[in-house]
Amino acid sequence: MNFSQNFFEIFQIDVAFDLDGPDLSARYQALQRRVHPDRYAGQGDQAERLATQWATQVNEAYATLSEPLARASYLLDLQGVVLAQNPTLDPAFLFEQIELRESLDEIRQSGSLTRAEAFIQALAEKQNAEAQAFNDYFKASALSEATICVYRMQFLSKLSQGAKALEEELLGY
Amino acid sequence: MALIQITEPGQALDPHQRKRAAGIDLGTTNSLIASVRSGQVQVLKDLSGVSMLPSVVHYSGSDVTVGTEALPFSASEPFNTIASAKRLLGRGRADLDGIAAEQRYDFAPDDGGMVRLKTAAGVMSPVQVSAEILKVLSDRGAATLGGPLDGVVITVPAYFDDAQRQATRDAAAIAGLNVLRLLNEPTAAAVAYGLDSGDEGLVVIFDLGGGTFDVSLLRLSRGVFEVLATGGNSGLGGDDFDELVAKLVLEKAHSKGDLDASSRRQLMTEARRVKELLSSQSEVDVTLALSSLQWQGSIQLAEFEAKIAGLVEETIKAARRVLRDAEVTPTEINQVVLVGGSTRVPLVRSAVEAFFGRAPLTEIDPDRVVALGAALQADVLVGNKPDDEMLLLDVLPLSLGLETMGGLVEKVISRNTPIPVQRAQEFTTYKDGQTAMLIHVLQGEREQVADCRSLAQFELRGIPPMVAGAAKIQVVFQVDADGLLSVSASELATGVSAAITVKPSYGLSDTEVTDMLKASFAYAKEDAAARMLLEARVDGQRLIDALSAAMQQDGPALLSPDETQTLQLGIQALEAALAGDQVQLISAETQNLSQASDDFAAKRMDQEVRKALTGQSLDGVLGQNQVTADEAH
Repeated sequence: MNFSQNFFEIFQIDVAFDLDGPDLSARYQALQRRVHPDRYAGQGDQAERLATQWATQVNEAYATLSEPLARASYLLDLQGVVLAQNPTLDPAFLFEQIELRESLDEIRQSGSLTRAEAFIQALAEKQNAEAQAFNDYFKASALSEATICVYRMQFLSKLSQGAKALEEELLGY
Repeated sequence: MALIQITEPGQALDPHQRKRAAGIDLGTTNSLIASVRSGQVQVLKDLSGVSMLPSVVHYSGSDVTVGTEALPFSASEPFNTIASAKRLLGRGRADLDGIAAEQRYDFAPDDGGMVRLKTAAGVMSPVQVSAEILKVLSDRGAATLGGPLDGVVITVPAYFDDAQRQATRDAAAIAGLNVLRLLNEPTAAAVAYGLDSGDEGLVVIFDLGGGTFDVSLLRLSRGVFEVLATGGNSGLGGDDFDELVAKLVLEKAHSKGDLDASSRRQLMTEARRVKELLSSQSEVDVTLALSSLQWQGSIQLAEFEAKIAGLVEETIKAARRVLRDAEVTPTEINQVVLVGGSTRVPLVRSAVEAFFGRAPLTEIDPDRVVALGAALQADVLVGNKPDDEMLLLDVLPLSLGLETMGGLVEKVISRNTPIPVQRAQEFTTYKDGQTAMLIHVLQGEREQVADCRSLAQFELRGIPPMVAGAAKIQVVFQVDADGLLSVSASELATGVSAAITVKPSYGLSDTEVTDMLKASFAYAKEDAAARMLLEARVDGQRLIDALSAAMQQDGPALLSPDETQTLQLGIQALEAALAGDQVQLISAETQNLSQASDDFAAKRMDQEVRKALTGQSLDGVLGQNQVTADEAH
């Protein structure tokens, strides 16, 4: 392992969107057993610094591969796709986003926790469907379609964050 | 789960080579020190056979007393007798609302964001007060283990923010301790419970101490303790129950609560007694004959429970949030462990049991479990158990972010991210020709700057003048394995980079820590020079030990004969220096040898990483997958 290895290489798994979660966790733990700074306590500053760098890198790799949107974006990045800051998307999709945003505002005004939870659940299903679509396109090397999926996932993820923040607010956290 | 009994492996080090390591639970109410001795982890006792050290420090004009001896001064000299200093660490006056702080302490103006206390021995920082407690424990450790401690693990509430962690580190530095790691209390408790039992699965640690509350969710698997989420309240604990009992007494006595400081302290002592008795009986008689309060009556369990119900509900809410963060439901939890003296309160137990739907584990004394876990971790970190597979993977308890336009906080690292971690964020200038930028680092979950804790502010200067939006300012956050943050910023667009690194330090600058260190040595009437020599020797010897072990193991494979010789010469030079008593020479040779061994350290690291996912270790760790693969053939 070195710092030029990609995150899949670090875990020695195939470069793919589909991955085995428990297997990734086990590999993550196996790597941390070797590189965590606790293993190098008292062995000098250099050893501890290096260990911290490795452990940081392994954490970063794990965080990226564990989360579907981060993993999808990373896969595109490895393929040399540069994601646009303000992508142009299908008007129908954008219209739906506006509607979803309006529903969220309504839920905020209603203060209903049940509705907020149902909304988050519905969003999660949309996110799963989009991730599945990404997987299919990416496997078929249809990169431009896969890229659009990532943009859509970005929208949904942002919305989901807003909904979860609202849920926390309603829960009184 | 079985009680802890660790047997040393066959290849255990020669007892004479064993390092003296200890775990310290620096508590709000009581503190403890524990160590692994002859394969057994145990709490260390003082000369009179007592293990709990009350976290109370009394200052007189000329003397400092700590613990049980300081307790009697609580009533007679309340402002010279500092209790619960842990709740003041890394805290300013504004943070302390609601703990009736004014009645318990005589505050001097805050300095650098942290409170200061007026005492007969002068103005004291809570860091200095904590250092006095640590010194007593350190001396106890040295006396029991037969020499100065090589390293300690100090526990902190998982929910401690950066300011509180840094303050704890500073206290340890002033006490002259070599801190191997700051360990989160719930993680320590999990180690104490889980190490020997070989349990797997999801474990919740519910830790309600004297002044802090933590709840953590961990996944245990083959010696790995992975924290999935943590939450709590670093200002909620048994002290608050005491306050409520006191309030109840005042209400029943129809007192307005305008007590003098001494009566107030005595009332608090009585309140604690009542609370403790209510853990085993349903009514407690109270007789108060204080200078400003006389009352006789009784307190019912039901009255007490009605008062504390709101706080108990707070703790359950925090538990619910932790599970939510980890996307886990209460039924998926395999074990619930209670830690901290305040979990003896029956209402707390029943609320926890009701929420998780299972009886919590309490086999290990909840007052000691944290110190025991810390001692086990210290024993591993100091190098006494090189083959141990135990590993703790912890998380950042509170999100870290930066102030952006409009007084809002942009999160850079969210809570519950595994540490160590590094994240970078890019910003740009908003005015043409702007050459400086203010970087304001905050910790907390809220959107508004005013609702988060301000950790540090610094200016990045020397940005080349450009049009607005052209500069690329990269701010990098790094959190190390202790959960401590450092921040750096640089300008990338032109390649001209101006960078600054801040180590947020609250109330105490590095110079102040050094000054206090010196002052504290003077206090202890120790010769500072002797102390420095001792520390230099410890550092030098530690390097020789670590390097020799590494060379024995990996030297033949990774070092050329020339390199081996260079390192051996370095070791000899350092050994020669260690035989003398010149601090500077020892430090210089230590430094030389450390630099000479840098490459070797890097090579060993690479080798470790290669081993991690190949050959034997993969079979071991991914055993089940491996079996499946074999069967497929």
